[in-house]
Amino acid sequence: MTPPSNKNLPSLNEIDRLIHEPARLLIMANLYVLEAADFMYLMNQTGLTFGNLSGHMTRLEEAGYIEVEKSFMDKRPNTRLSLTDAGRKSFEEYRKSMRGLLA
Amino acid sequence: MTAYNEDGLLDIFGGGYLLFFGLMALIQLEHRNILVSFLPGLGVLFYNEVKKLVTYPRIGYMKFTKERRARIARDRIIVLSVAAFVTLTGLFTGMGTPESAPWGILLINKYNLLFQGGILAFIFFMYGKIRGVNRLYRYSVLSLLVFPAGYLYLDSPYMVTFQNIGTQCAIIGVVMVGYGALHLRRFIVRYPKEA
Repeated sequence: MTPPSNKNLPSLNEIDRLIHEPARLLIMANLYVLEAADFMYLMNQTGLTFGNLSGHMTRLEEAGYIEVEKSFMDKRPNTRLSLTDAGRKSFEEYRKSMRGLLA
Repeated sequence: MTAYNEDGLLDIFGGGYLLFFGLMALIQLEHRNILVSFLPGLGVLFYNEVKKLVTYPRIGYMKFTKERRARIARDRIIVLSVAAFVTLTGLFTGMGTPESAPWGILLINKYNLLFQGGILAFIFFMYGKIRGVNRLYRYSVLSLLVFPAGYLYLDSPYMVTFQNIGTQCAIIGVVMVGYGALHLRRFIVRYPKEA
């Protein structure tokens, strides 16, 4: 017997697994409502450790979802993160597919 | 995003301004209108600088999207414009009102403390809603309590006088500065500056 299928439900392949991971989802959700945020701000908001955030940041950067800008502020290194257009679009699509799934 | 307002600076600066406004109204200093008018602008500049020194090094920096910044700015302008209009209308209708004035104006004149408390409560409530700072709702309630309480201890509570407004604003200002300082202390302990 086959389970009833709903055509409105997104298939597993439609869900962006890179965003779906909880820590990265937190990072993306935080950046989505902002133009930019620095590393320390995201650490405080997400509760991730330095190493953890750094690792996820690299993965998102490699996927082209976020842009990382390193500079110096008051002679101290400052890492500023922002969503790229592709990242913003992917996050919107992710939200749409999850909404479809949970509705 | 709430950690940004946990530093209590909003309370200290807002309360500081109310206290200054109150004292200026009480001591009848010359050119006080000019001082009181220019202070908010200077206060905002100073507030931003203190924020850079105290808050950003502790919890990091973020910038809202253009749309969100525009929405916040628009909401602020609407609230402050409404508040300024109502306050000025209240003051002008209240001061030197003849007995023959329309009943509405006489009513505002007589119950001016309730009216002023309501305006201040509205400002705190709306500002708290815009900024997402629930703490400001407490000041809204405080305004609704402090201003009417003036009927119990002020010399001429049924008249619109600078002394009345000054006293009530100074009381609320002192409470806000104190509460803000408490929050600032808590914030500094909770988020130590990176070595």
